[in-house]
Amino acid sequence: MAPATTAPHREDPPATTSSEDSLFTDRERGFMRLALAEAEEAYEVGEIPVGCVLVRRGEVIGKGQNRTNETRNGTRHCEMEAIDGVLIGFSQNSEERQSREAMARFWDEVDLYVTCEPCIMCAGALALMGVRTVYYGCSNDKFGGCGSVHTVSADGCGKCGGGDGSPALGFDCRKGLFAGEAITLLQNFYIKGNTRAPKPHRKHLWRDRRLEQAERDGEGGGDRGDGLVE
Amino acid sequence: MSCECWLGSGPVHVPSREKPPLLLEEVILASVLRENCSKVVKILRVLAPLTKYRYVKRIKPVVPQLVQGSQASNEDGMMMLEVVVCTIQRREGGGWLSQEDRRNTKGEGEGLWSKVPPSLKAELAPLVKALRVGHVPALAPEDPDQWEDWNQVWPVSYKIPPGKVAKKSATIEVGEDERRKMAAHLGLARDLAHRTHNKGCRNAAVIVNPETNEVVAHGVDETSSSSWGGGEDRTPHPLRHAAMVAVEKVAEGIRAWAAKRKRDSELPQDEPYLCTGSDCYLWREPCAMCAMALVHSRVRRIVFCVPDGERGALGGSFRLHALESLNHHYEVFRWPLDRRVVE
Ligand SMILES: [Zn+2]
Ligand SMILES: [Zn+2]
Repeated sequence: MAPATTAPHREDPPATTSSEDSLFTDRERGFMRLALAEAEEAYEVGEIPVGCVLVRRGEVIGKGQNRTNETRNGTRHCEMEAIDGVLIGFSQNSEERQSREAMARFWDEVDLYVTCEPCIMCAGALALMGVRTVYYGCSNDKFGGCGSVHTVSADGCGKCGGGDGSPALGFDCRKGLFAGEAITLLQNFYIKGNTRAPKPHRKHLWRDRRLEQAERDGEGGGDRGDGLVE
Repeated sequence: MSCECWLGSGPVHVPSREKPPLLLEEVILASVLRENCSKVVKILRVLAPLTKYRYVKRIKPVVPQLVQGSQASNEDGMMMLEVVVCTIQRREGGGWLSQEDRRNTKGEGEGLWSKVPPSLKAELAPLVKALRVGHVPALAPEDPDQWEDWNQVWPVSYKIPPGKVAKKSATIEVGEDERRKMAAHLGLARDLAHRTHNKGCRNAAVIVNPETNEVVAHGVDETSSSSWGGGEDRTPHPLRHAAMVAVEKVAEGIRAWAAKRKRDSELPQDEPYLCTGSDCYLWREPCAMCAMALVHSRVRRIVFCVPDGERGALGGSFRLHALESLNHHYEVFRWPLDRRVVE
């Protein structure tokens, strides 16, 4: 793992509240602070610094950090980590495990606080889980599934496995809470460089000709716009 | 289920976007003797530049029989050229015609001169034999095929976009050998999907390294399974779609490889990066989550059989692979089932 480095932004006192932040309650801000703490931990172990918490009835029931580098799995975004954690936590004889309706009711009381807009994959996952509201910090102009690139948050997601065939509905979004802090973390990360993302000169066993293309096209350094960002 | 007749006639490329159709822009064309041509073009370049239509070539040599009988006919036996003067709509280049004017002029005759801006008319009139209404492509061609087609309308230039490799065609053709391999992998995806669900077709994903044609990993839909993530007796996981499971297996493989690499320095230095360069065969069209997961995994190509016109993310409800902001784009094929199988 990458040696722990201190995020430069930590040397400064917490950024002042932007006008957007004041639209949120103290409680909401508190939960987003917890999500930011998750993101900072991810930063320190060399992961893309995005973090989240899942909240139900005023209580944190799950949290997650991006772990795409450690797991060698580009889908291990913080939202997926947090959802897995909650599902693993259900005891064998919990009410939710007994009935589909109880499970749906459970998730309908769950809110997500995540530092960066969920990507299209995670937005699909959140729709499939049936969460109620997603609070996010900064927008995700490359991959965002809550309006920036596509509108999974509004459209919902299919169940490509077949399942019961019923599509998953969308969820509500509230954006802009501590966006500045979330962006600063990501910027610091990319200044440092994502150590695991492919370097332009690096050869792959399964070399993708389009990857080389992306590296040529990529703005601001070949290994920056890494797809692992939420 | 080993009959080969279940697949339809062949894979259909699902382009990330449709080619733009040929749209025409009405323009005023001037017939000019070759000797006057450079003078005319010089004047036009200043007074009526084709700013928005930079790809439109200003001059076209006229084949004599095409203008037989019209005022522009080549009566002197000299070489005649046609030159784009300006568009008819008031955009670049000035002069324009109302709907009514156009009807009255019927694309011929002196009436058109009144539609050319006066300053331009003063300079051009002595050098021009006749005017007529003509057409040029309203958009720049996007690939060499289109360029060839659209040149039949009016000469246009085709510029290879910076940083992009010119594609012969927006539609990717699949050779016979490749088709056979594709069909075999789809067969595996189908068998896996059917085996795991007797009622209908659940999904299955097969990830293949196309360089060796070897199956790297496969996964089936596990949304009703209680063993996942290395644990037993768990709550079934609604996100365990086939593609997610297969991608996870690839990651497991890479982690195992990396651990071995630590002990064995003989192994190559570079570990595979996610599913870079691999192909993913799916029984059903992936949902938004799975389609994006495969973007994150840097898959090279996706092939699926059963489309989901309502919720599919690769042509059904939208085309994820057409979203330009994504940092990676794969190519997509749908191989329709044989009609008899569908029925
Ligand atoms: Zn994500
Ligand atoms: Zn799916």
